[in-house]
Amino acid sequence: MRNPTSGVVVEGTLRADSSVAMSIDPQGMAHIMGVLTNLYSDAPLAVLREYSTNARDAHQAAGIDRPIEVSLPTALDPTLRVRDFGVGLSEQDILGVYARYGSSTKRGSDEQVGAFGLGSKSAFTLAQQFLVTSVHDGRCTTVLFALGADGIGSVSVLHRGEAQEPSGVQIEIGVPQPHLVRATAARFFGTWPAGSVLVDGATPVSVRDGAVLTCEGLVLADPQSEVTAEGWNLVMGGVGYPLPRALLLRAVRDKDAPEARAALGTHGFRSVYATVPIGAVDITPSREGLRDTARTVRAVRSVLDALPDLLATEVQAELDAAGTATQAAWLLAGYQRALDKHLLPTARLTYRGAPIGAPVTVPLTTMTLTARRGSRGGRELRVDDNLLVSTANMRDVLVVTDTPKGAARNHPARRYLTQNSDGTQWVVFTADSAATFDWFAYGPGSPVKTVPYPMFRHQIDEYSTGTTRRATVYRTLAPQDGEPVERPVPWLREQPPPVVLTAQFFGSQVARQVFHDRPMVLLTDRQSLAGLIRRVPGAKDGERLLCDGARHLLRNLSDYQRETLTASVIVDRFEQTARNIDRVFGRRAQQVPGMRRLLADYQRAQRICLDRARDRTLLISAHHTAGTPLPPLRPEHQRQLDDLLDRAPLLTALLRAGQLTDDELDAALAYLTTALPNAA
Amino acid sequence: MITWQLTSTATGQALAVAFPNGSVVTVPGTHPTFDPLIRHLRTTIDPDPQRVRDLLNVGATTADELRQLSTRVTYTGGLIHFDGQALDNALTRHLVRLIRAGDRSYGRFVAFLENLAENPSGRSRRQLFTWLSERDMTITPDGQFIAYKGVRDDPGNTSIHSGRASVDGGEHHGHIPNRVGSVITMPRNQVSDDKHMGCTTGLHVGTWDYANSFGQRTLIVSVNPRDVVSVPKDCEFQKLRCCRYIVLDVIRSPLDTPSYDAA
Repeated sequence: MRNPTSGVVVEGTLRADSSVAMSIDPQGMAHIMGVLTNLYSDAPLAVLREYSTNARDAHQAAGIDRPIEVSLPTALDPTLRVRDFGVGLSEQDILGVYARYGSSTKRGSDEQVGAFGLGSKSAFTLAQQFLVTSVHDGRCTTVLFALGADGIGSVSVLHRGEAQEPSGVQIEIGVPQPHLVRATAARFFGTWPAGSVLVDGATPVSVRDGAVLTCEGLVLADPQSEVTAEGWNLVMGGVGYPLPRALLLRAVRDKDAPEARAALGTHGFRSVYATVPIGAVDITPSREGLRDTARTVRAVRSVLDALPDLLATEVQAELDAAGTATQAAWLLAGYQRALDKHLLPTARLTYRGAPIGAPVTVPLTTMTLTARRGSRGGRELRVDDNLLVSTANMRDVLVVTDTPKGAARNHPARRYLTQNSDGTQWVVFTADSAATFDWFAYGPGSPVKTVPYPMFRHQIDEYSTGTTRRATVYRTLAPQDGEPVERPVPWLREQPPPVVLTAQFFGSQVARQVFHDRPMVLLTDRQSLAGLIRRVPGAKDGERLLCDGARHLLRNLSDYQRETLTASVIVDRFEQTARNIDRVFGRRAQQVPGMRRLLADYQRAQRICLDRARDRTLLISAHHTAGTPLPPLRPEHQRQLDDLLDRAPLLTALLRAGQLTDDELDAALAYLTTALPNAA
Repeated sequence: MITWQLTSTATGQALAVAFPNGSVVTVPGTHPTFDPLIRHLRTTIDPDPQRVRDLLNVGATTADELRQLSTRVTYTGGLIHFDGQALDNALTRHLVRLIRAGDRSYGRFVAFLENLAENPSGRSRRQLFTWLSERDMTITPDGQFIAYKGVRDDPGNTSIHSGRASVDGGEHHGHIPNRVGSVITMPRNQVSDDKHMGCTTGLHVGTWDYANSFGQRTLIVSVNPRDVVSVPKDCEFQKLRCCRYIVLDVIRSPLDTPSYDAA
């Protein structure tokens, strides 16, 4: 890559008394090297990027087609190896390139990615050593680069000899955290061109795999893929650079805003990879990100400008290659779901010259579900004589063919529309097996979802248990039943009118107590209250009744229940404090009269709660159901508790102090004895 | 003769070893056998090349030992595979712990892998790895892993929540007793496999932190990886739902060794 600071032209008449070229202080060399080595924010990514792009550049320079080979580190073999099969480097070249910061052989060319002369030393950001083994002209040279005691790296040539291997360079780095490098590698190599790299002997997963659309210079990737990054990415020389959103929006032309801006944020563009030529954008010296320069904005703008035409051309080619107009419309429907209309101008698209996708009226009986006003999620079946079909809805249509005259339609259609999992929203019935209406056709060879009527009925039956049709059943809890049971409508009609409760209250102790004389029903997602009332007259929405019942219960508490509730409140409010007292003072807490009385009250309340767990749960649930707060403590209890809670900071401090000496404990007890005078 | 160079900085160490045949290897300070390697190089005047190679290629040598115990183990690309499937990071980390501790009890590790392979749900296995990935694992001689359970402070170590389970073969309804030595089970199909549901049906065990804060008394239990059903997302993946566990002991501090043997 050409250096953006190269080609500086100086012109003018300014004369100075003296002029000195700027340089680096030799004393500060270790510091400067440290800065240059640690300029990466993502060390594993930097190391992978620098050495693998160097390897690819070597193949590029030597005109070699075979992939470079990367061996990722593991916990048991924590060494990263990157091997190229270029012409290799002589010993002098190794020392020149790897031992000198700023030394690069690639600045004059836009064919190769490197330029800064920093990346070849990036291994020091991860490790204290790295090895370079080069085979060049039949000679093998192994050089160890290691950090030295003075902070400046040292270079040791360890081996020179005849080579047995093919020419090229291998870099080996012992990686302290191999799992980080492995995780980074999966995403990094996803943008590499096919056939350019083998990772652990296999072709890595690419962003092109499973992409929504792949064309020259552009990949609309699957955002769910583990190798794709969210948002826009520019790919230069195989390396993906995240494109900041601010930079992307700045590149939108004024005439295109705000539609283009809105389009760039749509779901179809959550993961985009646009390839630009090497050198088309400016990158930071760490090569981790794009620089926000006029050149970068220009490059992004040219990508955006070309996008609609590029997409239209690519999609148009696919449409024309389709066998029928219906197949073409089917393809277009898929793209419309993935791409915003501003970026894919569908009005321009045709099928072999004929407009495609304009709405067509299909004169067939059509059924769909619409929301019923005022009901709790209930929907009603709407029957139309026509279906207005376009590319927007054709994937959601199911055509039921070979429908006999007089065959049941409403109930099966409703059942299918509520229970299918294929996204169908319109069920169309026809007596024919195939037909064509303008571009919309169903039958053999058409991608439109089609099913013969007998098979459709069979599928409806499958939704029930077994192959027989099942009557409507409701999940019911009768007063005498221990567990909920599914009951048919006739059974419910014989009982007192049921009440309907949500899962939160269904079967709770409060509900069982309040509705002790009638069954409770829990509706499923697909059942409605209106449907239940229609089938079982007298059925009621039970939640208001339950709330009233809970309030009535709480207004008429027995002494036994009142005592249980008081004990419950004491335990809830006092539990943490009692534990703290026990942990700090243990048995000696009994020496403080106020504390002794409080603890005795607490223990009594705890016993009551344990003995009457079921009653306690009922009373607390009743308060919850009625929406009323728990009653306050009796004044004397509240006063004692407040007294003790006032000392909470002291207790906390004692707790933090850990083991107290006997003297400290005595002092604390004496203090608390005087601090709780009214309890003494 | 073998020569070597150790580079140490504040952030880590790296070792380069040059063999007589000209081959050179560099490894980081986190290599599983780094310490014995350095010890051998420092204390031996003429280090044995084969011994050094064995220490450097610890993955291959460990895989050889595992293969003695099970033919289902293979080693390729620096990764140990069981039935052709690369071991999850959490399991590899456990193996590295064993190597570092000089613990050659690979039999129980292989038993664990064999038990795990019997778990009928791939989803359950993946969720178990999520649970294991956040913490070090302790394995019993029969290939079960250690978990913790918080219970009430009563003679029967009864469970905090009530439910229905089988204790030593007898049906029990209510607060389930967890006496030391008891085997607690419930049908697998009644244990919720929905990781999005925090509190639902199933036998719950957890990490030390979770169990110790949850109950008044903490038990150590062994769970067969075959019996793991789900790991709920709530409580930061600290809980685990299973259909069977064995109560081993009441303890006051967590175990920190890779292996557990009953006293």
